[in-house]
Amino acid sequence: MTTPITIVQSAALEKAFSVPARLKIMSTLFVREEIDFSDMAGLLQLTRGNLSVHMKTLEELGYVSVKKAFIDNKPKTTYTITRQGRTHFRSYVTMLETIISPVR
Amino acid sequence: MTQPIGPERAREDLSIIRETIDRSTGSRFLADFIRTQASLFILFGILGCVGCLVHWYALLRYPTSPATLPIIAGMWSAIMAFTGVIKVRGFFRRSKAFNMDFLTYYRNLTHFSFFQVYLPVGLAGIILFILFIKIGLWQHIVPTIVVIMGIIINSLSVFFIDKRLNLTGYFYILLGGAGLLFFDGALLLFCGMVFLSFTVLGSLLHLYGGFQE
Repeated sequence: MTTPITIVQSAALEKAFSVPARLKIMSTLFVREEIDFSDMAGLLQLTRGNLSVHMKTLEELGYVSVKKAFIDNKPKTTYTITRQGRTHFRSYVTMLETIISPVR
Repeated sequence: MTQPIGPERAREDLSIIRETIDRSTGSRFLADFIRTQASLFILFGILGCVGCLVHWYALLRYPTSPATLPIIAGMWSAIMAFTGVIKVRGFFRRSKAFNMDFLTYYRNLTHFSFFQVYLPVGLAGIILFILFIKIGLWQHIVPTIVVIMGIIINSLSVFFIDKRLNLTGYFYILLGGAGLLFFDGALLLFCGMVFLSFTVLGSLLHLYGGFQE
């Protein structure tokens, strides 16, 4: 059974996902185990600067984790979704579905 | 202060999520597919082409020799069986990995590929394999039966499972099924189509020859 979302949680989710770019990032991370920065930018057609800002926000919210490494002397940044990010994203989708369900 | 989300915004957000997931899983599927299975499928494609060339050569050189079609059929069914296992395993892994109740769209997408594509082709492959072993005399008719079976199974899945008509399924089944194995990538599709062209042409020629005899 889905846990009911409180008003406070709902407001926090709305704020976190208020930007379409963040929604796209979370949707991508939800279905992929991990993705590197360049792939993400290409896939979502976001500029590197824009993506970087949103990733930082999501990281601060505790929704994504970052892994930095050097491969063939080139830096590679990989992102994965955290458990909290997954739960909150799912809650957000449930909330959206609840909103539209009475008027479907 | 953030405005509460209305139905319109909710619909828009869900639409963004669905589109993004669709795009992300599509590209991931393709990437995984190419990375893990490409060499295998290309090898099958080459083997198929060689097999079909041999079939053609034998057909033209020795028209009355024991048919080589069953060899091709056997090869085909082996490929079907192998890829069927891979695909079914992939289907269950993906179902487990994702929350299937989360997005109806995604569920439908998976449902579609399984019931419309892999299940009919896999069943056709198994039937072909059994026929190949048991009924050697039916060799000329086997490809026809496979195609008809594919159409029937596909129709059943369309009308009773997905409840929607999708001509793409028929198109691929009518092509003979082999192209389906290479559904996920252009290069693989190319290999599949080459293999398929030879199979279809060889089979038709053989069928024609069989009727002439």
